[in-house]
Amino acid sequence: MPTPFIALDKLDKRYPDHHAVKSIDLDIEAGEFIAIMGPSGCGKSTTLRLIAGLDEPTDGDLRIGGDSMRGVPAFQRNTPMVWQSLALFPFLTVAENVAFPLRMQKVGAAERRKRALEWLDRLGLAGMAERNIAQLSGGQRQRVAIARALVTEPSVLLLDEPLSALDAHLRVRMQTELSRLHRELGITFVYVTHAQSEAFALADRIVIMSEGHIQQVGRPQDVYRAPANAFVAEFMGMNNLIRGEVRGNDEGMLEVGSTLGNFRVPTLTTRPEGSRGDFVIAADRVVLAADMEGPGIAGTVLGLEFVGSTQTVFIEIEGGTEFRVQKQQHEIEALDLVPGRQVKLNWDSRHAWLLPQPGTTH
Amino acid sequence: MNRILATRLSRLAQYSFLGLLFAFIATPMLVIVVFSFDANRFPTIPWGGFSLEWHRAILADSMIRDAFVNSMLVGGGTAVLSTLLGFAAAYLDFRYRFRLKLGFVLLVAVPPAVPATILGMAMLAFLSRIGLFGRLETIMACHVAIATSFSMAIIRLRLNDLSRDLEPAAWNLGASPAAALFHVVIPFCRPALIASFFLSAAVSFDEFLIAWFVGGVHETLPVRILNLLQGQVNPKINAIGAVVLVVSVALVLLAQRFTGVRAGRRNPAP
Amino acid sequence: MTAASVTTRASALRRWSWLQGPRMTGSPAVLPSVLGLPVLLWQAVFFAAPLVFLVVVTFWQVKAFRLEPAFVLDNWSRILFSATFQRALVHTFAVAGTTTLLAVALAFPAAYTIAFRLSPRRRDLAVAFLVVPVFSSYMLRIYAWQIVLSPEGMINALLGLTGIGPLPLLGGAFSLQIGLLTLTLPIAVLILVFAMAGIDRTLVEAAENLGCRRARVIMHVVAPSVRPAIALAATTSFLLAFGDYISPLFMTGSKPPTLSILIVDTVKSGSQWPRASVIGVAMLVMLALVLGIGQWLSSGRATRREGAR
Repeated sequence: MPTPFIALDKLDKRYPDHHAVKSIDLDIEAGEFIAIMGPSGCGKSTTLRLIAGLDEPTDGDLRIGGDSMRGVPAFQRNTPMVWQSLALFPFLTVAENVAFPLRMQKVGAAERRKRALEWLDRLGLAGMAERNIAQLSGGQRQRVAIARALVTEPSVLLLDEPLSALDAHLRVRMQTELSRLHRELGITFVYVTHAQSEAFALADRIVIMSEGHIQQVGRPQDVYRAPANAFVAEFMGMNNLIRGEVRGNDEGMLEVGSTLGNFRVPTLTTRPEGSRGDFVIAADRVVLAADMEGPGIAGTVLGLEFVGSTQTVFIEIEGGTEFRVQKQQHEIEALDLVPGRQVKLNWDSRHAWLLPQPGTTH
Repeated sequence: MNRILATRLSRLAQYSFLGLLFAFIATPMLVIVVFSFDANRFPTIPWGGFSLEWHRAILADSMIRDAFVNSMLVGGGTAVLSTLLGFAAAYLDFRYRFRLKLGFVLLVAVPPAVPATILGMAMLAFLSRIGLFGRLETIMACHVAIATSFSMAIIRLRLNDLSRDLEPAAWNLGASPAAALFHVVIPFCRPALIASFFLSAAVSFDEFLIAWFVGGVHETLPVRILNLLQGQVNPKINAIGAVVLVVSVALVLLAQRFTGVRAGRRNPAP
Repeated sequence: MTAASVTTRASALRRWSWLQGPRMTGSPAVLPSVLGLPVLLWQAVFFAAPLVFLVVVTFWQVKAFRLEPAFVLDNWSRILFSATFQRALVHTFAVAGTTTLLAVALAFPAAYTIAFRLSPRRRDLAVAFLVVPVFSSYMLRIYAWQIVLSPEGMINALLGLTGIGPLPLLGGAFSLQIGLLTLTLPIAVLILVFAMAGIDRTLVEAAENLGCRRARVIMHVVAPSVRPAIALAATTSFLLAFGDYISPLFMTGSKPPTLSILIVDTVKSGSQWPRASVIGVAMLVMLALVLGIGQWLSSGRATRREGAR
């Protein structure tokens, strides 16, 4: 097995009254695009700062290209970062901003200017070289920050919520741009975000963090379809979590009893009766029916929310449980789903995903 | 109707009061400049006609010329040194936490609050003991101890606007902490450094008690004026006064041009 | 709510840790030392040491016009119990107190007009105009008042045309206050303008719309919010007036003497350094007390307001 390019080895960061990162292990392969996600305060940004050397870890080790980075100051790591605030130097022109890292490496003036202009060109900023930062639009500033981070041709690029200041339209364009750059350069991208759409659109693998712990690492579809625990299932948002306990085992299926009724859930192993049998069903796997006489769980439509071409329907089940169901617009119209409408919810048992038992590795 | 009239009258009263107050502040400065061109020996009304006689007289006075040169040297030295020290103090206060920090900041900030009579006497007593009495450099050193307070204040205010990410961004892009200081923090503070330069020069150019105490035979321009004032009425005083006034007002205006401090845009901390 | 508070806490902590500076292994705090030591040394030698020495000298003796180390309390008892010192002390307190009251009373309405009645552009100009005299030629401006107020000066020359006078404008309490206000008024106005510009205008307008008369708006909205600034303006005015040497010298001819005049006279006459130092140290102690009281008054009231909420 090849050594990973970036290795976090029981990496730990404590502040005097806050334990930000709790002994995490993570291997990042060379050339990988990895996204670190989690709610605010989960430790994702601290993790990025630890990789960049802007914070010293309290414990554990961090290796880049096999070398320990303990004690190596930030300015000797060549782990450039694109900041949420962009952190462009307001007193320098666009070209001088991009050339800044080369100036720190004592590259000659002519050479640094040539390379800065090349990168500006590559990011579609040709002709902007002499402008002041204040004269640029948000999207242009974003590109300057990226060019400045890449001008030294590093083998890793760190991005800390880089697109959060942009409007939705620009954000999608910049995503495409980042994706293209990653393909062309073939270097490692470590991308911190709280936006699921960005992580899913860009990353090869996703790391989900919460309260300083890594909750799950996996390909986007795995994290979505096969969450490792209730936190990940709920964090992904488009999952419905049903808590229940095992009533029986039957040829690769578990019988699970819950307050909503009894369900069958696929499984690879058997579980003893009475143990936890929590499972999730993805919002786009739920089937709705207007016929209240048919099988399924009865519920009342609470409201609807547009997400692109699909709508999310919020349905309340008797007893207070809330379900999210994703449907195309035409299906909504066919069923005439308006708030207050009674519907039946159902799904194919094969689509249910049994959560691993706490304490077992999945 | 009555209410509108009352409002108008009250506004009129407010503006008149403000006008009077500004006149009170401006009058002495105008008097100095206007009477420096008066042909009369004693400045009063009626004006004795326009004359450059006294301006010519001060050019011919070697003591005044020497005092002017001394003031320039002391002011220039003070401007450079207190800007350097003020920047160091402001940056330390902005960037680091250390023990006894309050003591450090007070040591820099407090000197202008000590009455110059007392400070001048104390400086004279102590500095003559360690053999520094009566030198131009000593006047400058004492002025630096006072002016650094203003430099620190101006530069600290500018540092408040320095984004917290800017320095880490520089380290992240390969700048050592010292390189980040030179290539990021100092360029960012440049307007405040220039303002501090002019303001420290103005503080030094205007100070006379300490210069009088510790200067010995070396007279700066304000000390020369003080000595002239304690003698006979001398029409040269208005002419030097006009020169000093123009220089110090110019320095303060230059300093203001670079601070960008405006009422309402920067509120004092609560 | 919890998510938000976690964010604030986490980012506050991040800042906190950043304030510690980059902990770079193997490099002790070189940069802060290089920056801090020169400042520390400079202020120690040219500011702190002279003041400490001033206290030490109060216990020394003068023998045959030479200052000699000793430990005697004679200087303290001679000065503190001398009628001259006591009279000068009372006089200086009275003069500085009067200036303080006048400066705040005159500065408040002026600052109010600048902060609330002038357009932002004019307000900036007014501030620029007020900053100039703070840093320029105080001594010359006092000299200018001398020639304006003197018996043959401008005002008496004008009055002479109408047959009045000449009035004894120079050499009394009136001219002394003119001089001290020249020193204190611009700073007092500036402090109050900066504080008032920070008041939410909508608050004032809301109060006016609610039918508050302007006087009541000032009493109940403006004055409470600038109370710390009033305390600052007052203590600053007091400090400047208390220690001033030039106005008493030129506007009253040193009669009666203030403490500053007394210091210079004591130094000049027979090198009585220890006694002059006693006056200086006594002045500093009193100034510190006044500043402390001012601080206590403004912060004490603020705390009480907080508690009432």
